[in-house]
Amino acid sequence: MTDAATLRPEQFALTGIRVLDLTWVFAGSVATRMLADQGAEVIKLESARSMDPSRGGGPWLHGVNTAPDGGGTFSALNRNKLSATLNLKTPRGQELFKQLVGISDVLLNNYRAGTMKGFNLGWDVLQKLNPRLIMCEMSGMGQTGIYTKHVTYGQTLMAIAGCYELTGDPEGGPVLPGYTYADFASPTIGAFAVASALVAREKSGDGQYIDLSQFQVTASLMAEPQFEALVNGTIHARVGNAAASTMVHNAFRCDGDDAWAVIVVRTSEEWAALRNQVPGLPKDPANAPLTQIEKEIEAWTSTRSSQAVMETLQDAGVEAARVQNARDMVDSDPHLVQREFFAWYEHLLGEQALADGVPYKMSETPGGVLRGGPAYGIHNDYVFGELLGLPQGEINALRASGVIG
Amino acid sequence: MADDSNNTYLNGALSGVRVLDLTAVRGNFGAKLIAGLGADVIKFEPPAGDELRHIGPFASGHEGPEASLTFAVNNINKRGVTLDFESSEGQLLFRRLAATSDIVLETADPGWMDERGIGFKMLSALNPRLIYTAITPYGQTGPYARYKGSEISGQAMGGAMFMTGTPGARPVRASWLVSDKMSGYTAAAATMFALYHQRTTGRGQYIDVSTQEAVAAQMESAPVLYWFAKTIRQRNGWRYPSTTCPAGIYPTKDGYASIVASKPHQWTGLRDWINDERLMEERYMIEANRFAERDYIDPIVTEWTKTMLKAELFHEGQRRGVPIGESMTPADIVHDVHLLQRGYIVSGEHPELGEFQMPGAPFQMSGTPWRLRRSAPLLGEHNAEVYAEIGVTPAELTDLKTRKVI
Repeated sequence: MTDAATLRPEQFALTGIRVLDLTWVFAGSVATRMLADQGAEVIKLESARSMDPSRGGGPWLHGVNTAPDGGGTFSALNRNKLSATLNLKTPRGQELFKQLVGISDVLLNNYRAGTMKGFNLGWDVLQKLNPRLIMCEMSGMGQTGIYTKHVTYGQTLMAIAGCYELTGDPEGGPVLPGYTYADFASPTIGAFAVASALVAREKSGDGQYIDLSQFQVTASLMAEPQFEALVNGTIHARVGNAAASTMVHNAFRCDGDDAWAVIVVRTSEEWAALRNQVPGLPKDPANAPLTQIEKEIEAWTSTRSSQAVMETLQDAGVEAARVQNARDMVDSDPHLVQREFFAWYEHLLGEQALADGVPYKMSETPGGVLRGGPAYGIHNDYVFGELLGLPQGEINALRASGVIG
Repeated sequence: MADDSNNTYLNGALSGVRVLDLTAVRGNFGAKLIAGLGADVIKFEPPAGDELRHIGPFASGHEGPEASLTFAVNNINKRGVTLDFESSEGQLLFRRLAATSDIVLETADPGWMDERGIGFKMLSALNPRLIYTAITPYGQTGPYARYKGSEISGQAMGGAMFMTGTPGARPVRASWLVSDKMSGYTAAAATMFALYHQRTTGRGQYIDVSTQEAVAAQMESAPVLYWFAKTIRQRNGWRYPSTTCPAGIYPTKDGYASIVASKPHQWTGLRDWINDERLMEERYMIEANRFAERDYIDPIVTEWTKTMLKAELFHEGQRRGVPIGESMTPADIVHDVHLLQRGYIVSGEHPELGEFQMPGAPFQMSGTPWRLRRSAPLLGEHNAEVYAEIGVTPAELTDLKTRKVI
């Protein structure tokens, strides 16, 4: 278990950067999570009228519903962040927001296009308050173009971005990745864009505006077949698990419930190594149909655990991998354990709880998880009292009138 | 590209940042993101050419090292050099370049760079500002560090593949090169954090990116769901892992369309559009009832979607407030009016492939806009230019070429 609490400020890359965080759910929160993991002071701003829906979702520790202060998913997405509450629909709320913009480096949201302009808090207004501000809006469609007003969910967005069409076997229809990776690609690339703008600001002194369309950035992950369509006028077909320039490239059933292992063979050396383990394979793979070869391999894998298949073949010099589910990764992956991949934090109920890991290891600025997701509004006194200098009486009055809350 | 002069870099967010790019398909997308923002990214290839040059799709009617569209689309905005990393002279040239660079991105097997005297320790002794990002299947440490891995293994070990496919049937990998792309953009983000840190402290660092971990961190918290609730996310075939209906991808006259109708107004919007009396039952206003009877409702919805065009479902659905997305093919995307209006498709010229149109900017920056600055380098195109910058004379260059160091 990584003891992130012992990290010093200089062990984070973004110490001293303040981020106003208007993101919610996966597609936004992942961006500010990446900045917070690296020590940026991320202030998550919500209001009773626009609370992050992931506060209401589980999973709950021991089945104890701790909403709105967050279940496992909320904490995984919002660890290391501060929480303050502010109603941007009130004039006083807008004033306070502008004051916060004045003392911040970065503003991020994943609202529908035009929302901030609707509050009269668009880039044109905020830039004047703070020319060093970097503002990144990560709407579903982007701020320009004919779809700006569209309603998007991660899943419908994955469809238009082309994530489904090429996934699945050639004879059937598309099958869906069981995880909406657009919800991670967009905010991770959003965090990349923000960090690049911070680098540029070191030289120019100026902030800038980033218009990120989740549709566009997700589509950009599939530039190869798109370029093929433009150059050759052809559309790539679904190929299932097959891949060019391979002799074996598939998942094979192993011993156990829904247990599978991937095996890949590219070279004649690897083929020979596989033949040493798996009986019944021809000397030259070209001498047998692929279906026959795969049948022989599956006869061998189906009497072994996926772990044994991976270890035996890897030791013999053949690429093999377990098709791991969540339980395999959390409970029985010695590699992830040794690399201390998963992050831990102190849950509201006082126990250590698991969060998604930090997806990289950095030698100087490892970053890490200091605390789980913040309870709703728990840092109001810090944000409005310490940062903006409001007296306690005024904070209480703003709370009572719903400006803060 | 017509304009190759250095001043085209001036207004890129990363202008003045030099990157040595030794990435194969695994990390290439990260180098592409960085090059798009105006960094001087130098792509290294062995004298025989990069592995990407042998990966399709290929431009029809073209052969040889410049025909790979995968190479051409992933290496825009970079300069290209060749170098024999097995020769001590080649290693020395690389060390000299690293001494003047900000970032090394590489995807070699753990230990490969060290064995050639060009690993992090050696290079950072020459240049303490250097950021060195290594992307491998399983990272640099741990019992699987030496395991062979590739795109499909990354999806398998990171938890993605188990959740993709038909329940009970063989798991399927998602396209296109999903675990490679995840590795690439994760590495790019971490590298940018390190670059900001370098700009503020003067210190570089080592970044170890494991494809398995890059994937595992993007599984919609499936590991968290298991740890808290002992629930394992399963494969769902064409349906979304949800508790609503309709929610999945439905066949149309000309392809497929994704439909999610969870909220009451979304359901009534869809129901009234389908206008089938079997769906008019009052109890279907309750989401849980629709979900319980999904095997009855979905075939009725499918009967109807099969009579529709996917684009019609998308556009009219949006008009009616029903979240629908047509399942776009790569050809649909490159002709999509919204993306065209946003400048996603850019025009350029390649010495061998000729004039082309290509997918471009992932996002727009107001102060330092993304631009297609140059097409992918020909094999060894910038050898003279780049090596001259570290003081290699024309005579030395000819000699290095003769002896196939470059």
